[in-house]
Amino acid sequence: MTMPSVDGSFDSVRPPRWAEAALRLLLRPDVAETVSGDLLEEYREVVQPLRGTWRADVWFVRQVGGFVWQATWLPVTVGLLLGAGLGVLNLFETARHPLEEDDAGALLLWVIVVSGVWSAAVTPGRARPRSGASDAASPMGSVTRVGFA
Amino acid sequence: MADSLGAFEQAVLLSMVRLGDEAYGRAILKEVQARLDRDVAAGAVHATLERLQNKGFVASRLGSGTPVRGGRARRFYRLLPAGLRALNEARAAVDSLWHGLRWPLKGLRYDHA
Repeated sequence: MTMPSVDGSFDSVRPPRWAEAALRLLLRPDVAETVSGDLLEEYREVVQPLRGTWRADVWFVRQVGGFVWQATWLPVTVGLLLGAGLGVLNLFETARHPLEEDDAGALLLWVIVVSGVWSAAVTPGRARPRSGASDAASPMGSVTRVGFA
Repeated sequence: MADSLGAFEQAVLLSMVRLGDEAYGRAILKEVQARLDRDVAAGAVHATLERLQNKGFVASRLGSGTPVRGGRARRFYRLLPAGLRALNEARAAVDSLWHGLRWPLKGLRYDHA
């Protein structure tokens, strides 16, 4: 078990600050406090004494990665699927009408339809409660979707 | 019938039952890991607890922090009647599926060689 320093603090034993900051960015403030406290407790009491600082830092970053994954897999996956679907559709349309100009109105309609489908798919509902993580994931999913669409 | 519980949700709820008043995030994570005998990400347990809370199966309250946590609060969870009912229904469903069968099953090969 990690012992406190002579002044009674554990401040010298701590995970990477950037990883803690990422966790705070990803989660609601009230959730971030309890979750980061849990991780810090495990880091100081078990992981760091057992594995050493470097491997304990890797452990901590992996845990934060788990939260990032929980927050982003759905919007990113839906964005990728929609983007891939639109890409295939675009290929077919180009093959059918190779010389036809893109219609601005039709393109706008597609963007609206795709945005609606994406939002419906990733908006937290009864099965997927809203959280700080899902709030943080929305911009990331939007970027993915726009990038591929 | 209440919302049915997945296997991981049952693991989390049963860990809470075992821990009683000491059921906070890290303790639940360690209990789930011990019972499932595998490494489990803290994010997975956290997401499950949030989902169970939104289903009305568990409630939480904040406790005090400790120096080793950097003074950060603990969130303690407790089972609500709906959660208890869901756990009992999940157990009854499994018992019903196994009714009349001897465990462990014999006479089948596990591999497909």
